[in-house]
Amino acid sequence: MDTQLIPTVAFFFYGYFFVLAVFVIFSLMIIYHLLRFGFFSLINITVIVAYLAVSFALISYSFTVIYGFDWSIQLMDPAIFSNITDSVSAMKL
Amino acid sequence: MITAKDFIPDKNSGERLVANIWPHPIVFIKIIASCLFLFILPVIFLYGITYAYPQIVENQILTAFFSAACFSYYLFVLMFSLFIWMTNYLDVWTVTTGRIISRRQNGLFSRTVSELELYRVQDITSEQKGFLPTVLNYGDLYIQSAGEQERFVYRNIANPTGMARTIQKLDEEAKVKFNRPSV
Repeated sequence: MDTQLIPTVAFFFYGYFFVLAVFVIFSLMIIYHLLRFGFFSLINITVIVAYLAVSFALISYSFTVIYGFDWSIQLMDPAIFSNITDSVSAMKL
Repeated sequence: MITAKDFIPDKNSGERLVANIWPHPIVFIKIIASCLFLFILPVIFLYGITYAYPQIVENQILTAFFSAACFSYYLFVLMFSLFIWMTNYLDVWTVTTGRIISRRQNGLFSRTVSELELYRVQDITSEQKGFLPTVLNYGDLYIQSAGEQERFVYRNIANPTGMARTIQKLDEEAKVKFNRPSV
């Protein structure tokens, strides 16, 4: 089997990036609501700033961790497939 | 953002702000506590799993999976916490000398604004149930009206009895002002 077809660890990270995109869109909408309908109060501003700070720290940290991985590691051992194909071809013979 | 401290939506002439009512601080403290608990949960889980199966740390695939899952979980918890905060924080009752304006954020795409003229108020009930509400003095306030929306409910407000008394007093003043008999 062509080893290029076996998904790599990057599969998880693409999933994470999708979650990240959803997070950014929804966060912007929630913050918009807090700014549009909320009061100009210390608590409201503090919550928004704290949320942005924690989000930024979390995303930055996640990027450092994720980029530290080798993205080319395959999720399955290609030897398994070569064993199967070998067995099948042996049976045909 | 609402900058004026005495902001009243569609203010009538001579109308004065009496109070803006938000849920009791304990509601927000509960949100923060739940958020912190949900943040600690994966740490406990990962500590337990690595303690029981130390070989997991050496497996790059599993480590990559747990990292992506963990960060996704944290982003979700963070976003959900802010969402819960928003629905509670934007749930405001504005009590004025003539009306009660209820502004409720039901979700991201759902917002309800309803208004109750004080002279339409028929009955006010405050309710405090349970240990924490009794000790911390918070509870629910029910206002029965003769208007379109018959029952106004505000849950978990601070000092519901005091607020009921204030609204009762304003209601009597409004009935005298508009020359309407008490219902």
